[in-house]
Amino acid sequence: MSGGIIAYDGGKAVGDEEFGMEFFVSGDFSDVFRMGYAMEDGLQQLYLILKEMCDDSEVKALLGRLAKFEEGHKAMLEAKFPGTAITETASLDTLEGGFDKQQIIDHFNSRTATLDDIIQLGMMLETQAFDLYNRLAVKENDPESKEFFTFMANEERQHLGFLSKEYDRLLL
Amino acid sequence: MNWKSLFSPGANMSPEAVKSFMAEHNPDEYQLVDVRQPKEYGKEHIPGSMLIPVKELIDRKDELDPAKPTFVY
Repeated sequence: MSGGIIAYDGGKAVGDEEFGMEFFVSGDFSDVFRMGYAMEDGLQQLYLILKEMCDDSEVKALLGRLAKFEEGHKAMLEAKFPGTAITETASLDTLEGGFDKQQIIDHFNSRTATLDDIIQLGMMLETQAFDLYNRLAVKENDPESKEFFTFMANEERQHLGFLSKEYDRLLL
Repeated sequence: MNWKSLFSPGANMSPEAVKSFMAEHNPDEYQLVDVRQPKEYGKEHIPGSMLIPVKELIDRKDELDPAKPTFVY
């Protein structure tokens, strides 16, 4: 790619090769699935918490849409991988991509969230998640888990596409 | 096998073209390889890229699928 990463103006991920992978160490597909599902759920909860915290109706509406996305994502996972028990998903402080939920809540406790903030937050989280699931897919040997990681990476790519469009609309 | 053939035809692509290719394809349909040093990768990298520092490229060529389009930076 000409110009290398300096010339690339798309979203970038941070962290070393193993960043976030520690949450998927068990190798057992049901555990892998539960962890992925719990991360989706954690992100949905974050959007709902932020929605409660803010007053701006447009920001609230966007956060509601993003939370619904995650809800749809969870339903899609259940449909695509039927028979994988989602028993009492543990409440996770870790979000898609390995970020800490409380840190983000604390950040928005100290400032008023704008549309721009929320879109950028979503893009950052989805970018990291896309990166994490790709790295996991490349390293995974179990075919079922590999398929799951590949599926998740593609889902995150589509979420990123949605957020990019929202951002473009905001910048118009 | 000549390792250089892995990247055949080896044309330069603009970042815009790569970004657009990535947006239109599933992530398992191509490979994105970061050949910089691990510390540079940790600081920032293009999402979905695998790290194979240039000095390790010959020894690790088997990690790449020659059938897939491969972008290197």
